[in-house]
Amino acid sequence: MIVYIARRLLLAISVLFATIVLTFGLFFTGPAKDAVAYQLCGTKCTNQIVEQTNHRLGLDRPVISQFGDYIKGVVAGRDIKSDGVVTGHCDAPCLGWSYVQSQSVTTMVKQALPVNLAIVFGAAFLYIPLGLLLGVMSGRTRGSPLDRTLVGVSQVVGNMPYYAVALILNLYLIFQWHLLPGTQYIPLTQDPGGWFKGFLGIWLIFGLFNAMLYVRYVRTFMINTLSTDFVRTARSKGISERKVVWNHALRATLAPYLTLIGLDIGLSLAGSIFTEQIFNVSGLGQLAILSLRQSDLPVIAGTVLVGAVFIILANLIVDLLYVVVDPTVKLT
Amino acid sequence: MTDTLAGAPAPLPGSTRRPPLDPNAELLLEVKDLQVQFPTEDGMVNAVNGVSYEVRAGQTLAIVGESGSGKSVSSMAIMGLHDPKRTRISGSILLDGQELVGASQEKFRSIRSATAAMIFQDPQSSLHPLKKVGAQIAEAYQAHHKVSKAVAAKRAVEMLDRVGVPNPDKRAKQLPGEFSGGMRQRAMIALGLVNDPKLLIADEPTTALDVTVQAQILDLMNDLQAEFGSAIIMITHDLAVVAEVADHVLVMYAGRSVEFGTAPQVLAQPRHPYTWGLLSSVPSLTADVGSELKPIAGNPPSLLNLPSGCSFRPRCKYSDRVAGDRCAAELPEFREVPGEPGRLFRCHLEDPATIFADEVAPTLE
Repeated sequence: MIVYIARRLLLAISVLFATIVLTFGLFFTGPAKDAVAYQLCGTKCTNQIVEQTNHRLGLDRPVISQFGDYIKGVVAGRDIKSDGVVTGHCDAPCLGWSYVQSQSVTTMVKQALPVNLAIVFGAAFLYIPLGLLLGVMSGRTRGSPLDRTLVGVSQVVGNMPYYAVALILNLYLIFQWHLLPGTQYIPLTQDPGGWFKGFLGIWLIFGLFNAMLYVRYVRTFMINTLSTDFVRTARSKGISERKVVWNHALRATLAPYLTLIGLDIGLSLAGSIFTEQIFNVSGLGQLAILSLRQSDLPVIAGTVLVGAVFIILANLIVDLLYVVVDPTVKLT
Repeated sequence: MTDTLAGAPAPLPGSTRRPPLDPNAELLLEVKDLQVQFPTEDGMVNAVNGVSYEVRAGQTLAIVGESGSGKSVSSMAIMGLHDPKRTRISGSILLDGQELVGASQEKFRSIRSATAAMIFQDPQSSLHPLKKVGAQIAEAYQAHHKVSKAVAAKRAVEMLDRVGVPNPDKRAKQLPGEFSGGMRQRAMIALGLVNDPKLLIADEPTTALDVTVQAQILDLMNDLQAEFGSAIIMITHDLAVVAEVADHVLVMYAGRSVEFGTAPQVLAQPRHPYTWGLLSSVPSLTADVGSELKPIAGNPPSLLNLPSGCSFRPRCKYSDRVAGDRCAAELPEFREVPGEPGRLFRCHLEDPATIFADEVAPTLE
């Protein structure tokens, strides 16, 4: 077990390193290597100015040496120099330096991240149990009015783009009918009540949307599981139908459900552009869009890296959870 | 095993291994004119169309027939394992004095495993893959006994030990995936017997196992029957299994009972042309190498659309011996064989005994 966890961790770390190499290669070498300089000189750019800027910022040094600096920054932090003079310090884990904002990318990510954490985990808190509950109820009463309603709603919701559903619900539930408080980001440390109120609308709308998608998965898992031989065996023991469904059938459904959810959470932590835009809160998605608009390459690279980290983390957690949920998994 | 069968009139080793039948044994299960239908989009699937049989305490009934003959479906009705919303059941099932057709789920719950337990065909898929074997057995015990988890767990280990699982303490804590096929079926039997049921329904318990293990499992079931005194319904398509374990035999075809009698009667003096076909199709060890198998010509009828009259008529070689068009016009009654009380068959033939002796028996070697 410990060997398994250690091995998974090592694997995750090596994937992470590969991601850093790839991100660095994509954003700071090749055709992208002069982007920072061009961004700083803007319309006044000439080849000479670009070269001078690159030299000033140390961006004309060999790629290996720059990569070494980058890695050192991630691990231990580094000084930002201009003409050999220290102009700023980028604390570890330094994901890069935005010369436009004169700010470390890590700081910018740290400001944006709480928004995404709140959105994703708040909504997951709602849709994980709700999707499971409704999915099981729908699957075990196949053909009932409840089942038909849930399948119908999830068909409609699932076939509409998320941004349309979210936008419409936002307009009606919040702006038109005032059923939910307006959404905004107030830091948790500043005003917990305001934080909760500001996110409530997002959690409900994003959470219900996801729940409707998961209902379909769980329903299908459940219908398949309920017709298996081992569920028939469970029923033949004389235990209650509730135990048959919630203990025997659900037990077998849990592993694939957790996999789906884990990967989904990893993905949406990396930034949910639509949610942030529609509900007017700025997280990683907004940061990515803003830096794209300003061609702020170090920030784009930083958000890409953060996204990759979340997906690697989600994979790792799902792998570890699987051991708990499904003991037949071979620990190799 | 098969060669003992093929010489049909010879004494059957199976019958000598079984204790003599006690005709006064208490009547445990009485199935009368049982019908099970599944409404589907294509029409009504008539899975069981009138089956009658009885099982006495401590005795073994083998139900024999092809796939789709309704063997499993009729037995699952005893356990109430059909989805009531998708199944229509009529007729009568009297188990230990209680009527089960139309019984509530509550009633079935109290009967399952306690009065009647079931062992399924494929032990690989019939045990929960993610739950420990001991816990799965203990759960059934706890469903009917108010005991602590520890007591139930101990009972599970005892049962595993009793069915011949080595190291039962250790094995109880393992998952079914860590068991071999034969061990898994032993665990299934332990699960079936944990509440000491009066009736054990075994649905092709040896079909998924290899031949050497099959014999061990059948021996085990014979031993356990002697010890626990359970009646057994053995569902099988394997006549060798019938010879090994059965006191009585019920032959089913297209959802109907076609022949019933003691095992020696049915195996040695079968009265129904379908049973003759079954016996003829058993491959023989003494036949010449390269001789062909003798399957019953044709296919079982569609359960959506049964033929008129006798269901077996389209495949029957002897229907022209019946006067007129009776086989097509009229469903034969499940009636007593003349001069043989307690022996039933469903056929219009007037003298099946002579036809069997003159024409069929000589072809069985």
